[in-house]
Amino acid sequence: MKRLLISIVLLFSLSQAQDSVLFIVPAEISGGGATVGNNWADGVKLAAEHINAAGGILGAQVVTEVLDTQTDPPTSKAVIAKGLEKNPFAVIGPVYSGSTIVNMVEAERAKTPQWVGSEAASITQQGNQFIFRTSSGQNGSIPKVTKFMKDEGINSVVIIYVNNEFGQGGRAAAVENFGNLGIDVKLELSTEQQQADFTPEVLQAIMVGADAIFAYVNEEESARLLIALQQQGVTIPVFGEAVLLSQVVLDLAGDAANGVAGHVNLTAEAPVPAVQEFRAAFEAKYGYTPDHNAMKGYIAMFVAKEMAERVGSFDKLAVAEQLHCSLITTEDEPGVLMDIAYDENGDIDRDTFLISIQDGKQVVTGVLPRLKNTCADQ
Amino acid sequence: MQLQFFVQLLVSGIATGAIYALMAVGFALLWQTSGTINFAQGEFIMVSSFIILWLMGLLHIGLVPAFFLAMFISMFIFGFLFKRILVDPLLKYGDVPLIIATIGLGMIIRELTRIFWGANALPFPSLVKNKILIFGGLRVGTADLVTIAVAIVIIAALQLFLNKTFVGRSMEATAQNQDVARILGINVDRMILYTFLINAFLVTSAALLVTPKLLAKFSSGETFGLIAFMAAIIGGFNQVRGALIGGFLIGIIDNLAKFYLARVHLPFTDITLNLSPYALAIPLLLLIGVILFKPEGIFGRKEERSI
Amino acid sequence: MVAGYGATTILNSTTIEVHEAALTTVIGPNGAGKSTLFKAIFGMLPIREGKILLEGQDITHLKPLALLEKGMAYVPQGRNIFPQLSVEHNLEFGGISLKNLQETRVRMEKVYEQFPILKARAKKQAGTLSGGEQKMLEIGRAMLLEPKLLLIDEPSIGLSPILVQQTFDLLLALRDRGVSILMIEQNAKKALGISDYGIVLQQGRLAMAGTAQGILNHPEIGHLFLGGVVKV
Ligand SMILES: Nc1ncnc2c1ncn2[C@@H]1O[C@H](COP(=O)(O)OP(=O)(O)OP(=O)(O)O)[C@@H](O)[C@H]1O
Ligand SMILES: [Mg+2]
Repeated sequence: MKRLLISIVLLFSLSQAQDSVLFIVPAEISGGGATVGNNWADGVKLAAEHINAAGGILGAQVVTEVLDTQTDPPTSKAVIAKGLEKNPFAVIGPVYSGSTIVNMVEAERAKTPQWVGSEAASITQQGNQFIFRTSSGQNGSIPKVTKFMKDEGINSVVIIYVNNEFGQGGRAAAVENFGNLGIDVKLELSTEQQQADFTPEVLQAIMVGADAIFAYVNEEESARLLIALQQQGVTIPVFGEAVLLSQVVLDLAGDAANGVAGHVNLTAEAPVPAVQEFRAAFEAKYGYTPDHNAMKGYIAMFVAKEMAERVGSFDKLAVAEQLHCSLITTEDEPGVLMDIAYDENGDIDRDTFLISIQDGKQVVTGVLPRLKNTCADQ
Repeated sequence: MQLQFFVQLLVSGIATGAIYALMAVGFALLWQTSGTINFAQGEFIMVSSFIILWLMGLLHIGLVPAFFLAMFISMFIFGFLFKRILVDPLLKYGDVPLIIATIGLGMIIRELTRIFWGANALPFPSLVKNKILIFGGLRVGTADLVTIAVAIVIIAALQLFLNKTFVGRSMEATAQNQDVARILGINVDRMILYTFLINAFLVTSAALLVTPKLLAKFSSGETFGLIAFMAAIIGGFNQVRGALIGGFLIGIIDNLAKFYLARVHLPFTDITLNLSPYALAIPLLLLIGVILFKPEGIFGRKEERSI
Repeated sequence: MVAGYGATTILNSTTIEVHEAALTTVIGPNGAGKSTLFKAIFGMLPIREGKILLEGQDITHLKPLALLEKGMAYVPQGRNIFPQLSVEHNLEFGGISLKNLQETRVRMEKVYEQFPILKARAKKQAGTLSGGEQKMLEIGRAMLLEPKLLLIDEPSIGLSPILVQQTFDLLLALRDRGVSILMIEQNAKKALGISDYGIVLQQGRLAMAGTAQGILNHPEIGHLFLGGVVKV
């Protein structure tokens, strides 16, 4: 009798397993990166819902298991290691570069593809064949902002960056590109993750009298920085990247964000129909405007789906191999929202946007077309 | 030029310090009158800002009425109930169980806040729309000025209450020597309750002033609690004035240190180092110095109690 | 009565009597429970067994405020002022049980007449007073109530001989005005010398009671203060 019961349970779980495919979703659900991680996880969950509604992947229903990294690198490593014991098809997340740097070895060891929202340059420079970005890394996007700043007539700049993997990578790329463009970096200010008050930095920046501020800190810190700039009455222009220009920062900083400009990989304001459809669905489900991280999480799921379908199975090794140097167009898979090309390292190439903040809203001021310089287009 | 920045830093340091002072004074008051070291102080502040936001949304009222309502709620929960349910039953077992209980309470408040209001930071309205005033070469934001003014009015009112009214003096007496206060017929228990209510009022005020700049976030209580604790130790645990000055000191030192450490020029070289990441060490060094050399706090007095 | 701290018993079936309008001094070795006795009488410690009567009225479990209202005042051992409050505000607390600030102010003036030094220092922080002045302040604060019964614990401690004499004179003057005084003193000889009655406490029990003269002349009293035990 006991045996029979056990076999029934086993059979049941086995049949379940065949009908579903597991994605583990490490994300910054709590801790300093909570805003980011929840956007990411919500994007992933929405994608899973859409995929399942359309019949799943290769007939299997998508199951997502969100794992809270607490915005803590060692915790992220631990939860991923634990999650990998369940033999998921893919790891979707996390976002914080500092976490990804330490946890990506786990997925690599388990030969499981991992899509991350992280942008630190070093992530794709270590020969890891299982790591994939969902937005261009700093090496891809920072040259675009700095070029934009040069075009705007900026000749000197103060860099305010956050002292973590993400900020240091951004700072290094920015310094290099400003140098190439002949923009004088008058001052570099390092700030802390979870820093509360940015007044001293702001006053430093005014004192050196640069043409512009280039801000490269995380979401909540970006908002606090903008509020501090406004409180000190700073009028010099502020430039930045996806984070600074994200919806979250706009919501938090209110009118302190007006006038900020820069370049983003993705934006819910993108004049692209698929993006607008995604945004509407997201807002209907969660009641807030998705930021770029929500879009990245959503896209990651559809890239994984497309690759499983191209390979024809949930063969993780084959998926990872195949994705390098692949182009996925919106005709192949509308869920990727915009054509996306992967290079041999897991970096991507996609259309990007120039943005400025007006009346508390992102306004797209230009579209920078895909560079088509990766192996996917050769 | 240099002086102008110094003054500007000073002003914003005073604004931050004034808020820290509010956090620290209540913390010190609780300690003095009831021996409670409240490690949930930071969470009281943090959750007060969420209560204000919640009331604004729920009742469609402005910031100021929401603040006053929140103040009563906070007085009831973090004043009256906190004392009756947690402090009174535990205090007779000494300091340690109560310390542990307040740490636990802080964690519970943090988690509940996360569950009810989410992990994301929320924007928080400020009392005034910031305008930049220019005095000579000095630029000062009205936000900072209003923060300083409100904090100073609250602190002055508290000082007047403590010194100029009989009830206030009875509270001071209770803080200075509880046994003697009891012998003289002071209703010690009621005086202690008053300090809990005052603390609740102070944390709500601190929340009102600090959150527009730092955003409402479930995890920010940890920093606030640490600051209140540090300010109280640095200034002197056993004196309201000590905690007050401790709060201002941390606000100002923190600002100045970050600013001046950002570009430290090594003498005889052209090397300039950015030591601002280590700015936090300065209040910490001060704290360690105080603990080692003047454990009663810079402005505190040595305990002398008998009976 | 039986009383003590927490589970420990210090006063074990201690019975004493205080005479009206007389000065009664309690003596006994360190740790005998003298101060504990006062705390128990004044409602600062729970009384587990026994009764305390004031003019025949049961006051056993009354709180300090009620006792103050009944005309008792207590000046504990050591420093009992609020060092950071002014002398004036310290004195003011003597009148809490009157529940009448006007009346308190009137009586404060009377205390100032007795202790002009307190008036001179009225606005100063009490902590800046000398030890003797602080004791004056405490006694003045207790006198403000014009109590029927004054409990005073080691008033002479830390005072110069002149001040000790002044303090004793003050207590005698109070007694002459009809106040009953129960005093604890280390300086047994001197204290009993001016007292009407004496009580010897030893290990929480009454060892001896009687007129001050009788106790002073008791053959075993000297023995007691050399650390021995009195056999009664
Ligand atoms: N607060 C307290 N908690 C516990 N035990 C106490 C406390 N106060 C006093 N004791 C103990 O009670 C006993 C009696 O102390 P008490 O102070 O009454 O002595 P005393 O006769 O006044 O001595 P002294 O002459 O030194 O003032 C001592 O053993 C003392 O250790
Ligand atoms: Mg004694």
